[in-house]
Amino acid sequence: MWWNIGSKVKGVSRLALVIVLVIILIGAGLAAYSFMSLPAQTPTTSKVTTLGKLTAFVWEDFTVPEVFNPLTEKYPTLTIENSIFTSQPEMLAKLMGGFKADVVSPCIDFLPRLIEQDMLQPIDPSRLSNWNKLFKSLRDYPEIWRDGKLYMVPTAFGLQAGVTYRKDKIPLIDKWIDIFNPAYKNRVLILNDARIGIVIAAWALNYEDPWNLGSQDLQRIKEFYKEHRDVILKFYESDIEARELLASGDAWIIAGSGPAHSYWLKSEGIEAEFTLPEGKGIGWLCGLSILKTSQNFDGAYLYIDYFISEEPQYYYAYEWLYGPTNEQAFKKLPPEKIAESGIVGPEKLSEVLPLIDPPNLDEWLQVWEEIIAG
Amino acid sequence: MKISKKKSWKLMRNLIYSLPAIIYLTIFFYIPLVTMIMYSFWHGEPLYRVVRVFTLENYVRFFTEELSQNVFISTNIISIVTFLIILLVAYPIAYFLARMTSGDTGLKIILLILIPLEMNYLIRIFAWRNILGENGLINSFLITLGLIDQPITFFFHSIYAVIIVVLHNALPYAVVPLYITIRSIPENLYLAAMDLGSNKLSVFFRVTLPLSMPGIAIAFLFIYIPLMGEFAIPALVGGKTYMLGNMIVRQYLTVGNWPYASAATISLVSITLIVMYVIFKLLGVRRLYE
Repeated sequence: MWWNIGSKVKGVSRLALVIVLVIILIGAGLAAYSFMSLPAQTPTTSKVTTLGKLTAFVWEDFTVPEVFNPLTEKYPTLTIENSIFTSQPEMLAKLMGGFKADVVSPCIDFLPRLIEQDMLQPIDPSRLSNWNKLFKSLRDYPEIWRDGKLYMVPTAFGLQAGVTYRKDKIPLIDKWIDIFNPAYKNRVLILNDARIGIVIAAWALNYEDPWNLGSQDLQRIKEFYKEHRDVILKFYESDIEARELLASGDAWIIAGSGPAHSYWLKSEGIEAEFTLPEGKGIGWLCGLSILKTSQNFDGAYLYIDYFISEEPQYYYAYEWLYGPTNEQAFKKLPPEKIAESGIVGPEKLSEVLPLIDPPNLDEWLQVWEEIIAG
Repeated sequence: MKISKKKSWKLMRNLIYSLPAIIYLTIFFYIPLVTMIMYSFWHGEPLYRVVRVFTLENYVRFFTEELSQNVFISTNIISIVTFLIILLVAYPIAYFLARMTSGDTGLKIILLILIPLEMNYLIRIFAWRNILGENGLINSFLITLGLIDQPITFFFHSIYAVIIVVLHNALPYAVVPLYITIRSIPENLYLAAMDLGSNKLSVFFRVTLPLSMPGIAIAFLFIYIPLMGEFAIPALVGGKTYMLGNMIVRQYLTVGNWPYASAATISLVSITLIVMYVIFKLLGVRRLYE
């Protein structure tokens, strides 16, 4: 009997068992892999033949159902596969590693890097039906053009590197140096970003042109942070964490934030205020670009055109407090919403500093690391 | 001839048995490790600029730069101090369970100690944020009791918070090996020491402690090595605390200098391997296997 083999030649029986187990495991693994590799056997098979597949390498913002579902309903024959990144360095690393997609959503500071790496395809604005509905100042924004070619279609903008503070804990903040008041020991959160963190200190030290700091200036800023280290609770990376710390009262000041924090905190009954001390802040502008690896230019144009149309623009402005690049969407916003939320018009972008790379970025990164390491 | 055939069959059998482990380790450990070693010898710059030419500059930078030296020293101090505090807490627990409980009571309590490890690591850290915060559980409790007027803030977003959270997370990793080694000390050694005139304190210092050194060594490795690369706890509860793990993560994800980050990682692995070897040799861990 076969079951007697085990008792006669124990080793062989165990070996057989192990071999069978290994075969089963490998078989199961291969089956699972081939199952996952199969193209989606859904009714979309027929759709692929029309508008095809589009890979969008984007911020999570572009995938929220409230905006994404109407897009898929509008273009049912366009199969969109979203791949999400959570930071621009991560985006750049993945693209440099050979990741292929059709569209990508950079911001103005990382756009030059993508252009210089020859990753982007120039965009023909005449193929976008909503292009002329964007604010003219944003259509003409110099950083989105290179050699007369358009490389990014702006989808959102706003302010950052401002100050959000607890009105019930501290008096008005007028100047950047105010946030480093020793009375605020362990109450200040500073954004953990080399560029913004250094610019904040440069403003506090009254530098006129914070993007042009030499080695000595950077050393002075490092010393400044060393002297005022006691006021800093932490160098924060997550907006949600910063808001939570301000709400709990552990922190009183967020430096490096946009106006959205104070709006959301106020809606939770917390006395928070957003300000740009001395009118100094940094503006951000993000958008959509087409990658050279794109296999579906038609789909890419439809995708971009949709995100600059009125409905999604209005949604992001109303719900997420992003500055809408579509003029009609901006005009549609209730005035009280604009007043409460701190949403600004595009003219504000020209009044603040643009978020760019300083010429000696490597040195900035090194100094910032020394600052956060203490 | 017969023996040799038997031996080769045994070798073959062992090889087949270990095949799944070999495949797993090759894919998920050795290939990434070799890739990292290769990167560490290439020239790198921020924002993922890599030039594939052989250089030792990343290692030279890691071992000579003031910043990495300071971070390395402070990480070591934090790791060792934290380990000593954990040892002070874990040893009495392990001693009590091994020496003062009867039957399998000790084992049952060990299982209870292990249960929190089933909870997700990050959730455990986040739970501490709510306990240690200015309006957290501890402060609320102390204020309610009237013991303090103002919330205590020093143990939130500080090095103390890191130590408290690591103590909670790592305690089972110290209690279990200590319990095993203390329990394995033969009873007659205690009796012999007592017969020879030792008192309880003397028995502890001359019998229990020396013979539980392998357990201390294992606990040290379980706590020290992960702490050297720890980045989540300092980032979430440590405030301005900046450890080696944070530096490496920053180089990988934010600065984008992968060759330097790889050199720092390989250096860290090498240093911990050396420490491991020395500890094993000094504290007689081998005895556990004999």
